[in-house]
Parts: sequence; C-alpha cells; structure tokens
Amino acid sequence: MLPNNPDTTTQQVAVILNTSGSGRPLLNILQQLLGEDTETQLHGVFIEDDELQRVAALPFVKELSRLTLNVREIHSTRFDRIIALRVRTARSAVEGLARRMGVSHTFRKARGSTVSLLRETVHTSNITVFEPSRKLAASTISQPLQVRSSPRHIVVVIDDTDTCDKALLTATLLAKGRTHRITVILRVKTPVEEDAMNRLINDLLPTGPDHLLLLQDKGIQNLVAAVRAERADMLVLGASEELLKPETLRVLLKHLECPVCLVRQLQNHVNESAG
Amino acid sequence: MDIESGKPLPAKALYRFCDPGQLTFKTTENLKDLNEVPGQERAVEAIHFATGINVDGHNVFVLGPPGTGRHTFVRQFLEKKASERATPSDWCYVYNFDDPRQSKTLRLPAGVGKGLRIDVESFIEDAQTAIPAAFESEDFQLQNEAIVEEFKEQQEQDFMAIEEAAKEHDINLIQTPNGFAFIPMQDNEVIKPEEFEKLPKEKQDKIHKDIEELTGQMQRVIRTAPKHAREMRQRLRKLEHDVAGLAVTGLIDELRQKYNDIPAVVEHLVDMQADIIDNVGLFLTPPDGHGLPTQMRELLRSKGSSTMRRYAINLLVDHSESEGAPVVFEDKPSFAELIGKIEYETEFGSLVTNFNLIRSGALHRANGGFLVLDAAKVLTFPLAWEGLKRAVKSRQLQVRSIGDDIGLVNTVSLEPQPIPLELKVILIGERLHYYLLDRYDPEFSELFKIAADFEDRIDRNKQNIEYRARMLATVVRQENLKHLDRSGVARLVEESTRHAGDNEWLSSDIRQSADILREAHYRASHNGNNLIGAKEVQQAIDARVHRASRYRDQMQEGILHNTLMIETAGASIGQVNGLAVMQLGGFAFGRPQRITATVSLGSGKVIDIEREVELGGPLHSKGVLILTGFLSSHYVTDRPLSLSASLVFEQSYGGVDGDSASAAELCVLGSALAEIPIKQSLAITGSLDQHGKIQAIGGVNEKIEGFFDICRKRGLSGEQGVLIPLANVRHLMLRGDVIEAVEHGQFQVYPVEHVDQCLEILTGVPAGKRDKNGEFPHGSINRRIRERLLGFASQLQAFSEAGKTMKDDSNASKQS
Repeated sequence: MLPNNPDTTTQQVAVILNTSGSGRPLLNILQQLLGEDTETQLHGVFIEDDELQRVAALPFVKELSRLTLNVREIHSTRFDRIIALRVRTARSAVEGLARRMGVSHTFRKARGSTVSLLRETVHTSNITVFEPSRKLAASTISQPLQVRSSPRHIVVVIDDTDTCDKALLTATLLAKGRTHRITVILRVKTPVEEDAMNRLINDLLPTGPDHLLLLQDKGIQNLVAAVRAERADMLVLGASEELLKPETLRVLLKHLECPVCLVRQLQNHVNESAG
Repeated sequence: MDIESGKPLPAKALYRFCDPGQLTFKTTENLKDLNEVPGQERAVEAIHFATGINVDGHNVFVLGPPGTGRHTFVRQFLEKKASERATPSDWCYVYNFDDPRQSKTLRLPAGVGKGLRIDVESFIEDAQTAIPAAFESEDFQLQNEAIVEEFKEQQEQDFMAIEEAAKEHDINLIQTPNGFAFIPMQDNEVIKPEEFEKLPKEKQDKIHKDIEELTGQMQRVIRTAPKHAREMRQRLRKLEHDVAGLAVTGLIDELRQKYNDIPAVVEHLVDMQADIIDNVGLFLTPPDGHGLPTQMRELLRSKGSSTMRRYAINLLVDHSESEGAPVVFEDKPSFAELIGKIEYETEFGSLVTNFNLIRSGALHRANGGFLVLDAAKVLTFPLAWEGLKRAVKSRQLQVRSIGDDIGLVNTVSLEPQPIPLELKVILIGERLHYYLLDRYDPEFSELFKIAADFEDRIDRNKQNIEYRARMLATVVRQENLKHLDRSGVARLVEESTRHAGDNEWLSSDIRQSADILREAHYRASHNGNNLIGAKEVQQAIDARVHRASRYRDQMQEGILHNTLMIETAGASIGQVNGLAVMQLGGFAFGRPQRITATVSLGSGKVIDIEREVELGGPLHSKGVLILTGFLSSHYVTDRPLSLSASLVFEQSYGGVDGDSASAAELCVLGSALAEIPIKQSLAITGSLDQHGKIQAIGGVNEKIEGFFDICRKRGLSGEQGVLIPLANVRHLMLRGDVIEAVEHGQFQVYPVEHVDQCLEILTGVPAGKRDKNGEFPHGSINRRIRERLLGFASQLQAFSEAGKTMKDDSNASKQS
C-alpha cells in the first residue's frame, strides 16, 4: 500500500510492475521524470493478478512455454517460485533507480485484480506509469532487447479534464525538451472547447506539437485506435475519473501496445496551489 | 734531379713544392664550383653503365676509402640521371573486401594517389550524411513500418483466430509468467476446480480435447513466427539495401567517372559500394554504449571509427610533389625502414592492425628510381641485408614486420599483396666490405654485379691541381668560409701529396683537405685575414698534429731521458737504429727502434726473439728468414752456415710486423759477425731481398721525421741521418724543419739500393765485392763477415771430429 498520508509537497511517482516482463523499459522512462525533480518519492508496485492463482489451482491446465514451445503442467509451487524471483528482480531495479536518481522510494507487492490495484495506485500518485499486457503476437517473437532511455514518439491526450495541462507538461518532460516527437490528440466536443485547448497548447508548448490530431468521439476504443495508428512509444493521459473506470482501464490494458503514463493532480496539491 | 744511390739526397729531393706562381688564379673566389670528381673515371664509367643497363643484378657497389667524394658524386650523378627519367607510379594499399588479411595494392599514375585519397575521404563524409538522411526520410520510415505492421498484423490475426476459436468453446487464453495457458471459463470467470469435477465426464473430456487442440494450433502459430520474422527481416534488409544503394550510387558514380581510365580504381570503388550497402549500419547511429563506463564508451566509439577506416586509402608512395625518378638516401637502413612495416594498435588489451597501419620503407619510396645505402649500416642492422637481398632478388616488395619475419609476433597480422619492384640499389662502402661480401655471400655477386672503385689518389698534374682548387672553392662557398689565396691552395696541394704518400700523386681524400680548410678559416679569422694563406694552412696542420701527438711526445721524451735507449752518436758493435711507424687513429709517427744482434757458434739458425715470444708478425718473420738465406748464399756458399745468432727489438713491448727492418737486421748481424761498430748517428729502414737489394717500405716520411726529432732535440751534429730505400725517394714529402737541416748540412738522407751500401755507410768500412776468385778484398766488411763464418764452420768441423775421435777411443777401450 502507498502511504496513507503522503508528504503533500513531494511528487508521488508510481510504477506498476507485473509478472509478464522485467519492467526495465518503464524504469528507464521514469528516469526522465525523476531527474528533473529531486523532491520526488518513487513507489514500485508489483501486481500479482489473482486470476493467475486461480489458474494455477486448476489441476488440468497446462502452460505452453513461449521460449521452448513445450507444454507442461502448472504447479502452484513453481508459480510461486517464479513470481518470487520476479518480485525480487523488480525490487532490486526500483531500488537501483531510486539510488541512482537520489530519491526516496517504497516497494510493495500486491495480489488481486490488476484493474483494481491500478486504480488504487493512480489515486495516490501524481504520476503512474504502467505497461499494458503484452500483445500475444509481440510476446512470441524474440526480438533483440532494445533498451531506450526515453520514448521517441510521445502521444499526449488533451481533453476537458483539469489534469490535461499536467499531462502536457509531463509529455514535454518525457520528450527531453523536444528532442523527440510529440503528438497531441485533442478530444473535444465543441469548437469552444477546441479554442480553449489550443490556447493551452500554445501556452505550454510554444513551438507547437509535431502533429495535432482532433478526436471528436470520446469513446475509449477510438482513442486506443488513434494511439495505435500513431505508433506511439508512450501515451500520456490525464487521469480523469472517467478514465479510471474499470472497463476503461481494462481496454487500455488489453489493447494498447505502448507504456502509459497517467497524470493526476492530487487533491491536497490542488488545495495547496489554490491557497 | 741528381740523385745518386748511397749519396746524401739534396734538399730539393726531399719535398715536392707546389709553386703558387704557376697557379692560374689569384684566389679561389675566381674559380667556378666543381660538380664532378676528377681522376675517378673508372668509377664514374661503372656507375654510368650500371644506371644505363636495365638488367637484373646490375646494382652497384661503390667502394673506396672515406672522404673521396663517393657520396657527393653519387648524389649529383643520380639526381641528374633521375631528372631525365619519368616519375614512377603512386602506390596505395586499400581494404580487400574479399580477404581483409590480404590488403590490395593500387598502382596509380604519379600524383593521382593524393587526389584519390582526398576524393574517397570526401565520399565517405558525404555518405555519412547522405545515408542517415535517406534512412530518416519519411518514405523509408513509412515503408519500414509498413513491413513491420504487416508482419505484426499477420501474427495478431493468427492469435486472434485462436482466441476466437477458444471463446467458442468457453475457453480463454491467458498469459502466464513463462508463456500461455488455455483456461475453461464459466460465467466469464475461470472455472473452479470443484465445479469442473461436477461436470459430466463427456463434458470434461471435451474440454480436455478442445484445450489440447487449441494448444496444438498455438504451437503451430508460434513455430511459424520465427519464419515470418525472418521473412520480415529479409524484406527490411532489402529495403535498407535499396535505400542505401540509392544514397551511395549517386555519390560513387561521380568518382567512377573521374577515375574511369584506371580500371583498378573503378573495381575498388565497385567493391566499396557493395560493402557500404551490405554494412549500411556502420553509417547509421553509432553505438552509444549507454550505461557503460566512460572508457568503454570511448573504446566503442574508436572501434566504430576504426571500422569506417576500411574505406580509407593508405597512400604508401606519393609522387605528387616529385619530378623525375626518386633518389632516396636512407641514413637508417634498418629492416623496417627499408622494407616498410606493419604497425599495431592496442584494442581492448590486444594488438590489432589493419591496412591503414602499413608503412612504407625506403624501397617503396625509391621504387622506379635509385636507392642509396651505406653498406656498413645495412650490414649492421639485424636482418636488413637479408630483407634487401630478398626484395631485390624477387623484384617485389612484401611488407612484413620484422617480428613476423622471424616468427616472434604471434598475433593477427596482414599479408599485404606485394608491390613489383624496379630500382637500382647503390651501396656505398669500403673495400673491405665489398671483398668480404664477395667472398662470403654467394648472392652478393649475383645482385651487385657492378663495382665502382674509387681511386685512393690521382695524378698530381696541373689539371688536377686546378680541380682541387675548384673543389676547395666549392667548399668555401657551401660553408661560407674565407677564400684561399694561391699560397694556401699550394700548401693544401702539398699536404694532399704527403697524405697520398707519393709526390707524384694527390690524395683522393677530399675530406682531409676540407677539414684543414675549415680549421685554416678559423685561424685566418683569428689572425684578422680576409684570405686563407699558406700560413693559416700550416697553422691548421701544425695544430692538428699537436692535438694528436701526445703519445709521440711522451715516447720521444722517454728517449731523451734514456728511459728508451736510443743512441744518436758514437758507434756500437751489433747495434743499429731501426725505424718503425706507429698509427694512432688518424695520426702516424715514426719511432726509432734499437735493434741488437749477438752471434756464436751454432747450427746456422738465426733466432728472431720477437717471433719466439710471439710478438713478431708473419711478415717480420719472413724478413728474418730472407736475411738468413742472404747470409748463407752471399758469404758461405761452400760451407754450412755454422752460427747461432739472435736478433731483438730492444725495449719493444708490443707487436712488431712488416719487413721494413730486415735491412737493419742484416746490417746489425753483419756488424756482430765482423765485429765492426755501426754509427749510432744513423738510422736505417728498408726491406731486403735474398740478393741483398733494398726494397721500398711504407711511412718513409714519418720514419725520417721520427729519428730527426730525437736528433734535433739532442742537437744536430751533422753526422746524423737516415738510410732509406732508393725506391722511396719519390715518396718523400718531409717537414720543413727536416729540409732546412738537410740544406744546412746538419742531417742527411741516404738513398740505398743494396745492403753493401748500407754496411759501408753505417760502418764507414768498404763492403767489398768478390773478385774473380770469389774472395772479398782484404779489409772489407764482407771479408770479415765471411772469415768469421768460415771460422765458425771450421770450429764446428773440428768440434765434430774431436767428438768422433773421443767416441772411437771410448769404443776401443771398451773392446780391449
């Protein structure tokens, strides 16, 4: 669990790790954000989906190995051992990153529904970074591991939520001060909204985005399709309540191919800023 | 000139002056520079021939003593000859794209290599910009992504089909930590084990069967994934290949057109183009070594740049600044400097090399022209001589490191293609080197067929004196010295004659004259003179002698203090003053040597004590044996030689060699036999033959001066003098003080041609000639010697008979 009463002046950054990967690309992306502000606390959250435990309890289910294509039976004890190893690796990676960047950190392992745990984490963090479930096709192809220190093409979604300015600033930060491409997707319903958002973009991004995309339909499926079409390396979103609905998060987790950065203005931050 | 054997020489016979009045110039300033070597026609002709003939093995060995102008002449001659020839080709080493170990050679017209190197460097720089630009273009990115997307979509479709098939059977596909699993579902939830158990047996079996089939399908799809991925990569590579080809072709076509008339260059450019396209990654983002320590990142960068160096041109021989054929003088003819070398770099702790590290040698630079080497230096450097011979004999130049050559270096190296070699090698050395090589190296005469033998001396005639004056004028101008007036030139000519050891010659050792000239320049400056005259030249000569004469002075001091016993007055039986020459470095001086003899009855053996104690050399022993032969043949042909004599060089503690003392040894032996004293005011030098004739010896000037110095320091009596072989008169170039003493009758030089003359002059007693009865006249020294020898023979005979009688008596008494 994240601290119940986090320091209100400290930026809370969380990274969601799971059993399907090493989480290294995510941690590399975080390096960009941590480097800019030492008043940051890093929280590593390792999620063990409870669905996996249920699968392990079934006596007849067999696992098809990605690496060897062998079919073997699943045993709970072996599952536990593998997950323990993954947790240890993730903890070590988070600790290493925090030490390198000179920030404080926490690490926890949580078991349960990925969507629920993700929502819980987003609610207590300014920035949450996670990786969708790996696509089946991508996960079966053994590609050379390319560790990028930062995403080269960032797609940021601007809508009528009050966190879109934070999302835009975070995208700029991830784009290393514009050495990488930024595409802005405007989700608007009316021309008035569009004007307001354009002004915001002009204020926060004086040189303008590399590409501006207007999306009038606010459905999450369309947004995911647009992001995939852009071949984004990173998606930055303001974490609105609508976005944090379980069904919406499930779509993001299942259909996106790139890491996602959810930006949220914590309540006590807002109060402090207003005061 | 009136010279009579046995009579003192007139002063004018002791020196051949050079009359300044006969010189046609006033000072050397009026003379032109000398650009030839007079008197060396034999050597010049040989070099002309060798450089003119284009046949294997006609390389030249220029032999002769140092200082004879060999280097100067060879340089001037070859530079002139080379300027008339065409400038040879440039040579480059380039990367061999088929076999990197065997670097390829490129032969280019003279001066083209430099341009090609610059062009290729520019091409690579352009390619480094053009290729990344092509790969960053939107067209390429789109095509690239389209290929990847097509592949991904294909894969996804395959998986989605399986997922859909699974759903139809209420089975879900989920990812596990290591792979996938098909899970039976119930009401959108994973079925619980206890509920699965409640299902009918047929239902359970069906689920098992469905999962098994789906797993099989999944395996097939996954198995095809690498194949599809490979196809995708091939398509991507082809795209990259096409894009790179497009970017490079335009650039390289310009180069191909420019060098269209040099097929080898065009061929290399084609190979280079293909290699760039195959290795286009080299031109894209270099490895940044992210996450590695700084040193490792730098190494990676350097590795990247070293990989790019494969496209460079290693211009080994550049004739862009040359006119005519090259003439290369290699002062340090080591193996590497001659043959070239392959250098190495350290990379990650090991030694590596590439064709850019091939370095040219003197043979490369001289190819198509002339290479001039100092023979002694070539022989001194390890393996240099062998390397030179191998290259000249095979007529090709294979660059190798000396370590590789002897198998010392055990690392990856290169075997560059050899370069055809066509040049003349001119070795300059001393005669000793030439004859040793000729005797002991069978390949030498095969490779160096032409000997250009420089003379030690040249005729002292009017023309050569003028040449010598012009040579001095040339040195004066080259070194910005003061000019010589006629007297200075004349004095240098005289000194050169003395150096030649013959008053009919001039020494070819120009260096000696130049050295005196430089010192005379200093003296003239010190004296405040604008010109160098005879005075300054003489001062320079005296100073040089003074600097070198420490040991001579010590030795003369020892004689004057009677530490070394040399008598210069009075007369002694069985003792004579011989003369020896000592050579210390470049300075020679004469040393009087007291030779004594003792005689007694014996078996005809003359003991040479020097030889007995192994201080005498073979030539000295030969002289002693000759005089023994003369004694028996001249005095007692009818009796056995029945004496025992011993000869010794008194107070001689070093080795003695040469036969120049054999006349003195005979005279002292004669004195001992005849018991007639020899005048100690005289000294004698000369070699004796078996008939008593006196033969020429070396170092006559130094010998006379050595005895004269002792006499002068003790006081010249007018009785003193030296006996020299008549044949040596032409070699006389004595010092001024000796000549002056002779002029004033204080010292004499007697030329002699027979030992009888020596005996007469040394003893003052007539030698005597045999009459018709074969007898020497009464009172003659020869008669006294013969009588003494006959006496020895009679004594020996009597002694033998007495011994026989005593033996017979003894036997008779035993019988009785």
